[in-house]
Amino acid sequence: MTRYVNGFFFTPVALGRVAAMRFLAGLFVCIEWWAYKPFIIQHRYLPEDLYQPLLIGRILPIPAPNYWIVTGTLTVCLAAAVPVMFGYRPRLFGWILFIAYFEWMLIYNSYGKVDHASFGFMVLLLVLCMMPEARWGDRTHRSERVGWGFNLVQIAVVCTYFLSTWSKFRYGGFDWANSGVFTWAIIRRGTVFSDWMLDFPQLLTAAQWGMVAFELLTPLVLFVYPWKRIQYSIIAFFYVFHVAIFAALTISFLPHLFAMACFLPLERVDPQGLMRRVRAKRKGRKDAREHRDRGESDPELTATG
Amino acid sequence: MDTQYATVRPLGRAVRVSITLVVLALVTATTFWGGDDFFPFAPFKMYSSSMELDGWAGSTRVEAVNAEGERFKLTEDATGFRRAELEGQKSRFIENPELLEFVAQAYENTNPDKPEIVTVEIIERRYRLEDGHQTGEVTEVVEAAYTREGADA
Repeated sequence: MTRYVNGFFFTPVALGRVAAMRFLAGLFVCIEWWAYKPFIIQHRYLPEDLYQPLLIGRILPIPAPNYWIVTGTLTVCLAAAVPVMFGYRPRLFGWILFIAYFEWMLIYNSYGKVDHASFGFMVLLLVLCMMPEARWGDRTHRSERVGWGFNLVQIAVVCTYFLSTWSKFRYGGFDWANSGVFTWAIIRRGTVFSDWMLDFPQLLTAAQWGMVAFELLTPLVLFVYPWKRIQYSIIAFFYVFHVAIFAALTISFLPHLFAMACFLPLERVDPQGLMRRVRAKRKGRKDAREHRDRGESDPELTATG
Repeated sequence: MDTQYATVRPLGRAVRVSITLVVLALVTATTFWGGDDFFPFAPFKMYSSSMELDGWAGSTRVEAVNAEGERFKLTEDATGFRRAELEGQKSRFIENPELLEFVAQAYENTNPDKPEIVTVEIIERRYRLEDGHQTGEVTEVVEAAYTREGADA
């Protein structure tokens, strides 16, 4: 039991995953502002009177966003994201990125609507600041500190599902699953993949029950950590769930999807090693074999914490 | 090369587990008490409201009339102000429609080359539902309207 609890928080994770997650986190910051949430940068044109500061914006001396604050925050985010992506002084630039991105999130959420897809991603940026320097494909160095950090992100990701059902019960009542909420959602933002469902309200009610069941069961993905294959399958199912939601309502939860990647054994991805192998293969040299044979079995698949 | 482990000492473990529990406690607490104001520890309430199976399902939009008399929809792209943000502040606008002036300003800041706006309206299109089915009955309600002084739209 102690062993299980210890493993829950501190299963060592290979440093290669840190390098991969830094790349993904920086990549998302570079993509978000123009492709995913273009209105955040457009908030630079909003008059101050539409600004509705959140508690943290009222406690801390954070000025109301204006043209230069919004543009400047984005510039700092991007300037810090690039070195983080490629592992150059990743802790220093990680902190700069975390602070600037937090301000970016305040600019995002301080106009009357708070979105909830970024919680896991913000936790990810925070824990990445505290992790050591790392290189892609490193499966030799394993760290319990890193394991704890990614476990925190994973808990945040699961909370996004699990607690959202409790919010539904709180705001929508226990009858939420019997209500017409999906009908309303499809009327508002349906697509060719979902509009036909409006003719089958019972189907939508069933989907609402399925949603509640799914979200309440998500913590299982944390508890099955000793059985990696099961865990990876559940994560694959989560990604499929989001593809379906995107097809139906064009809601993608993109930052959440990036944060969730820390469940996956990304330390197995080694672009440099891959390049070496491809090059060696092309030359047909014998020494290619040495690289190819390395790392056939994954210790994590057999580890039980 | 052998696998090398970096371990955490017992005190470090205690500290780290405490941090996890505090984060978990905060985000759980705001799920049941408090609200969005506590961001980043806000309740995850996406689509958490209940919708009556018999009643009206509403869809809000903002329309504007410009100085040339053209009526058009004020989209997120045109103003940088999202529909959800407008809905979040809707009670403010209904109480004091003059605040729609700031939505007009947002449009003009975003599109300095376009003709100025004279009138801004918040319109809700309501779809009648019975037993979860759309009955086809639709009404539109202007919930708030603002016309700039000295302008006749």
